Amino acid sequence: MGKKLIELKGITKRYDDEPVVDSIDLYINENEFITLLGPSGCGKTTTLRMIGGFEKPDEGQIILNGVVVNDIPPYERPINTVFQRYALFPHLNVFENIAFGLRNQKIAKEEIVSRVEAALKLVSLPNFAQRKVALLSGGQQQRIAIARAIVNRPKILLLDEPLAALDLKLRQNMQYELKEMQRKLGITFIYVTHDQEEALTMSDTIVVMNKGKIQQIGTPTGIYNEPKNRFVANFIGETNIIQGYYVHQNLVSFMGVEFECVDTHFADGEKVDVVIRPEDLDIIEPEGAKLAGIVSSSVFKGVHFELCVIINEKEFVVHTYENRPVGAKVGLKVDAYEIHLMKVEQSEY
Amino acid sequence: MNIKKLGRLVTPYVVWLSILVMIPLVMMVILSFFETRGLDFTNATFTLSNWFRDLRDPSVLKALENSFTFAGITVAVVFLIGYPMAFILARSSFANKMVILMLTIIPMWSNSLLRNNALRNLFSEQSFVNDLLSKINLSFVLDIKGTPSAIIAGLVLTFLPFMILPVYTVLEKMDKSLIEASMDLGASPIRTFFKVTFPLSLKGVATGVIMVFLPSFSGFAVPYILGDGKFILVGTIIENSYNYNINFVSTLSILLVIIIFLMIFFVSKVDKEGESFL
Repeated sequence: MGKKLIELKGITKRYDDEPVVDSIDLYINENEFITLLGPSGCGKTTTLRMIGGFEKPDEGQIILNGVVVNDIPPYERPINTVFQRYALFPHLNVFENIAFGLRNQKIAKEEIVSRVEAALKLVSLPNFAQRKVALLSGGQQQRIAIARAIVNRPKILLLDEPLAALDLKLRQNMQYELKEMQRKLGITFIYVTHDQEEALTMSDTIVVMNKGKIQQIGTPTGIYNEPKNRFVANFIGETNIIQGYYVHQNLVSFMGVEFECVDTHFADGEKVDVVIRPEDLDIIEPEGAKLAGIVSSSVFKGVHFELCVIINEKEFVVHTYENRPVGAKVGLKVDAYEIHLMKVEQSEY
Repeated sequence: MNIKKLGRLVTPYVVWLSILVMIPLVMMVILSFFETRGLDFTNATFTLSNWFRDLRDPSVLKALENSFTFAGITVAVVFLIGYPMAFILARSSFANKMVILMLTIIPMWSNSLLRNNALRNLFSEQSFVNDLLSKINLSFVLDIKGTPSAIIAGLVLTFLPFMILPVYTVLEKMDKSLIEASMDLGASPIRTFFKVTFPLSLKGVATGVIMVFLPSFSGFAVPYILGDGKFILVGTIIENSYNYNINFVSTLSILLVIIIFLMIFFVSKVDKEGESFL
């Protein structure tokens, strides 16, 4: 990964004295695909807008290539944005929409034509130059919006939930295309979404945010397998969280039973939250199983069945390929390396 | 929605429209091709002279020219004042935009004869303002009564809201992310205005232009009161001839309708999605 391109230092933004972004520290490398992930109202879009220059931080500094850019207006930043609802200019055709940024830079006509054509080819819509934007489908408008941004060869491309309005199939295709595009162009992508699957599929780095604060920064696998707290564990995929305590090195106790585990960094006897992903629980015969309970519901999800197993009044969600009838007694097994332990937080979510 | 039901709901409107709009229009068209005594058709004779002789009368041509000039200047002045007002209002973060908008509309609620007679007084040497000021040894003389400026001022004051309202509505409804997109793509605020905001507000401007031009073109009260009756306009000719030559009045009125339709047609053609202005 390249060198540090942009850095946020202690960024705070308040609306009516209510902090929506609360002293965030973050740096983003050249050529990185970074995703700001969180529920709506977590401050991710506000953070993006501050990087784009549409909002000014109340505190802190935004440093781009070693220069503080807090007071530089959006039209002077080497940053372009793909807006959530595309914001294509309805009075201009596709060509003029894409050429808009180039015309602002006083670029020669021939170069504008060739760059617009190249951009259209990149988003797989050649021959669309003379179309009216109002007559394009949602997916096509999306591609034009991307072409309009990247044609300017920005250092950073901001994407504000660009796929939110597309249907599932199109969204999945676009995810791969965007990732591919980012690789080819070597532009830093800063992507905002509330969709954890999207974030996991595309990102080099995920920044999980909640209530204006960064909860965890890490790679997709790191965030998924080793969530730092309950919020991250719950937000990234389905999960079972059980209270327990750390017995001693490589041994944890929960549900009144002791399990082997691989996590260290805990004191003997310390209270911990145990995280087990639904797909890491295996159904076994109830006899001799450490965890045994009754199936209370079973839902077919396509690839797998989602079972709800009640053990001592605690619900466990289990993903399995083999269905079990409701009311059946089953045992659950989990491997040591699939048990993840988290520090118990003072304030519970 | 049941179309038949909707069809029946439309009926009163259709009846209304035919009785109050279509029949009078048809009557005027017929009248313009005849010579009658008032609405009495007993000795009516068919003639084309209304259209091909009387319309070419120098006084009529002068009146048409005057009407076009006054209406044209009024539209220009109203646009130059109204657009910035609407723009500032739409962009501002006043909590009470509606109050300010109301302030521009409220004068419309007072009787226009009264309002223009007040203006006429204000534009004369013995204006009430001057009267009051002279009591404290000041003077304010704006003696333009009977000049084109007075007429333009009266028309502008009367029709300003017709420009502000449609332009304000369009600007207010405009997707703000388009402005951000323009800035994002490197356009300065001024360039953004000319490349995005203004082209996208042309629909409102076109509506405003029609709504200001038409009444200033055909109206007669304002120029009559503020111009001291010194200027002949299409409206004044219609008013003067109404009692003795209803055929020529009908001809002029139909001509106005044609001009109005041509204007609306032209503006709607030009304004198709606002893009052909670029």
